[in-house]
Order: sequence, then structure tokens, then C-alpha cells
Amino acid sequence: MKQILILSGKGGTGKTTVAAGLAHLASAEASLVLADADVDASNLELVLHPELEETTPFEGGVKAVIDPALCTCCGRCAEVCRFEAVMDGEDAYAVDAVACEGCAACHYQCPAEAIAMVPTQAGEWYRSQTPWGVLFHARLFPGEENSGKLVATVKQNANLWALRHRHRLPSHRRHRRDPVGPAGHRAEHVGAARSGADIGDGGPLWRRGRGHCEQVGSQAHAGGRDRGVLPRPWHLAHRPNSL
Amino acid sequence: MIISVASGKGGTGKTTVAVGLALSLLECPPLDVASVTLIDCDVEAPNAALFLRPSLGPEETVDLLVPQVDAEACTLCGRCAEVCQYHALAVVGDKVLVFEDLCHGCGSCTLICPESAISEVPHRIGTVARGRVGSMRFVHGHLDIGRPMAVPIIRQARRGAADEEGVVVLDAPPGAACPAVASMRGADFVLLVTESTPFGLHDLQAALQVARDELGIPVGVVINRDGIGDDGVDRFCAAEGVPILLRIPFERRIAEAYADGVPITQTVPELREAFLGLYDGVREAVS
Repeated sequence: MKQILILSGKGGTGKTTVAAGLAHLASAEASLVLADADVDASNLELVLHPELEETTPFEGGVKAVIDPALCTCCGRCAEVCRFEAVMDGEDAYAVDAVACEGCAACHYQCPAEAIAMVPTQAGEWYRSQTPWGVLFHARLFPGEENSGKLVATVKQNANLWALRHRHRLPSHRRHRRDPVGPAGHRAEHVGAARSGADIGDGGPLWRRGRGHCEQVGSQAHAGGRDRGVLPRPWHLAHRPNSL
Repeated sequence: MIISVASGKGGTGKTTVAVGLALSLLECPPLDVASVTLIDCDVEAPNAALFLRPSLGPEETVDLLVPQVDAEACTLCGRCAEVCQYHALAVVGDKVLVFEDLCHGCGSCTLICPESAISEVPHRIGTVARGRVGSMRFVHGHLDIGRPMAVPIIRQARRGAADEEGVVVLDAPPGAACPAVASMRGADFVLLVTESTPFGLHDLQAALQVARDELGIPVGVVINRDGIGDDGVDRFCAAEGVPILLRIPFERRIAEAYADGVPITQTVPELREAFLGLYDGVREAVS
């Protein structure tokens, strides 16, 4: 598998345009997995016209919620909050969910135990089918944080899909790196799960048979470098029978 | 009055509009505008200085307060690691490890430590510089490369802006997540810059939801490169009741000015009138 990351510092320079163009051309030679990692403003879907196949809710962090019945208005929460998220209400304090970073400092400091940390849904991620390959994309709900985690989710699922659905085992020469850390937003990436006769370095190894392949798989895993690689059994479970 | 110039999509012309508006107000000040301040809140890619070439004072460092554990006093109870929501602390063997890059600087661990063994030390995440362009005040923030937390820098760049008598123009980062929210919060008006393409429309919807629906700030739209694309943005704005306050035409001389790094009001003087009209529209909507 080759991964191509399309990235820019400045907005509006044409990342999506390049990703879509590349996907169109590359799909003639390889089976593609596409991922739109710009979860904040994901636009690849506007070009590729995907057919939605699966939607998964994305749980962001937790947010503080103050129970007005228990609040004694001591003001401790507002005192400890560093994100200006606690508002002084009329007869109880309240949390501004948009400003809350979910640090839970107020939760632990509240003497009346009036503050609960409540999980929130921060977005959704999707698997869709396009004429050029499977597309993983997501939508971070407006004003939410934790986009790094959602980017990581999209990438991870795209990688997993590519690994599961390709028709050969990883070569030990393959260096798969995380293209950019979770903070590498504003990026689309195109992962190509290559198939067919043009199999590159990994080909000969793969033909050496199951025993050797298992070994390669387990070495890669034990080496701990391939962060996205699953434990061994699924390699075997998903291998086409013809091998 | 604080006017935040935002957009969902990148590259729609936020900086062009923010600079154009600020310079127009500076050069032909309406009666009610005592002073003009421009704050570039796009701390990941601050570009306004490229147009304005300000004279800047020394950089202020922006720090996050991260925990430092006094090994003598620490009993390894693990309470700090337990309360940390960001997994920035871990008790490993006879040590407490602190991962500064994960820390959000909330101070919860310091407050919770039963031995008071945690103190807080500054950890640099970026810089803010303040200066002038003629009589206009100029501020921009810079997030250090690879750092994840833009919001504290935006907050420091904006410090004092709320007390300004005159007009403060904020150049916000793209998107609709935390940094964009931090650049819109507390503004009197949000100008959403977009273009009439399906992409511009798609991302405008998210930005509108944040500015108008979640933050409750009055909004208006600026269509940049007017003439390309379709009428999707027009129809959307009409349906949502959002006023379109300015259209910047898709013209070669405007694109050339932008490409040369020259503010568009300098090469296309009639745009100054248009920006002053935009300010009138904003003032009307706010009052």
C-alpha cells in the first residue's frame, strides 16, 4: 500500500482539486481508498458524489453540566475554570458548552458535587462509495473541538479498510508512517491498495507461500513500527482463497 | 465595535476583506470611528502582515501553564493522572511523567494534588506581536509549528480589544472549530466571506451555524470573486435571511493586486467606497 497525502499551509490553494484529480487518474491503475481528513470543512464529497454506506457517531470529549438543584452558587467552578466557560446565572451557575474544554477541574473542585461530566457527540464519520473507490470522510459539528481525534479516526479506518481489502500482504520493506500527526488537518489523503500483476517489492515474498507470509506479518507487528497494523489473525482471515 | 471576519472555507478572502475594511476605515474614517485596530487571529497562517507590512514591537511569548511535579513531596498516589482528561500525566514506576504537548493547562492536577507537590511552569506554544501600520494598531499571533493549541494565542492576541473605543477588525482562521469560535466569540458582528461555489456554500453553512445559531452574533455575508460559480450562495442567503453586504467582483486587477501582496483598496480605489458601504451595513445591523 502506498499512501499519498495532500497538504497545504494556506487554505483554498486546491487540495481537494488535486486529491480528486489524482483519485480520478490513479483509479485507472490501482484500487483506491480515499480519505478526506479535513473534517472541519470536508469538501471532497462535493466533487466525488459519494453514495453513503455507513454513518458512525463520533464521541468527542466530555463537557461539564451543572445541576441547578444542587448548585449552591459558591462560585468555585468559575474560579478554577481557565476557559471562561462558567457563567454566573441568576440562582445557579451554568456552563457554556462551546467554551468548555472538558478538563473536569470544576467537577473535582465543586464542594456540592453538583457538576457532572457528560459525553457529547462531536460529529460523525462516514464510509461512502464513489466511482473511484471507497471514501472515508467526516463532519465535525460546528464549534466542536477534538478534530485531531476525528482526523485520526478517519485515517485509521481508511487504513484499516485498505489493509483488509487489498490482495497482498505487507512487504517488510514497506515503511508506513503516519503522514502527519493528528494535528495534520486540512489534508485529504489517498491510500492506494495496489493489486494485480504490478506488485512491486512485496511480490516475490508473497509468492513464497503462507508460512513465510505469516512470519513477515508477525515480524512487522512485533517490530511495533507499523502502528496501524492489526494483530496477525485478520491478515489470514482476509486473504483471498486463490493465494 | 468588534467585527470578526470569518469563513468556513479557506482561501475565500478573509484577509483581503479584513485588510480592505481596516484600511478603508483608516484612510476615510467615518465620524463614529475613533481608531482602527486589526488583529490577525489566524495564528496558524497569519498573512495580514504580508499586505500591511507593519512595524512591530518585540514578540511576547505565549505560554501554557503545565505541571511540574516535586519528586520529594510526591507520594505517587496517582490522583493527578486520574483527574487529567488529556492523559498528560502518568505514574510510571517511582516517577510522574508529564507530557507537555498533551496538556491543556487547565490546572486541575495542581488543584487536586493532596500533597501540593505540583507547581505550574510556563511552556511556550507561540508568540504575539503588536505594532502599527500608520495610525492603525496591528496585532498578530503565531502558533509554534507542530503545536496543537491555537486558542490561548488567539485569546492573548485579542487581550484588551474589547475595551477599544474604535473599530476592531479580527481576521479569523478558517473552519468552524475551536480557533474559529475563539475568534468570533465576543464580536459585535461576524462577516462571513465566501465564494459562489458549492464549496463556498457548504462551508458557509457550518460557519453560519456557529456564528449566528450558537454564539448568537449578527452576521452578514461578503461574496468574493463574485461572478464565478452558481447562484447557490445567493439563494441560501435569501432563504436564511442573511444579508449580502458586499460583492467583490472576479476581476483581473483585483487578482493581480492580491497576487502581488498589495491591499486591493490601493490598486482598485473604488473598492474603498464599497468597504465603507460595508461598514455602514454592519453598523446598521448592530444598532
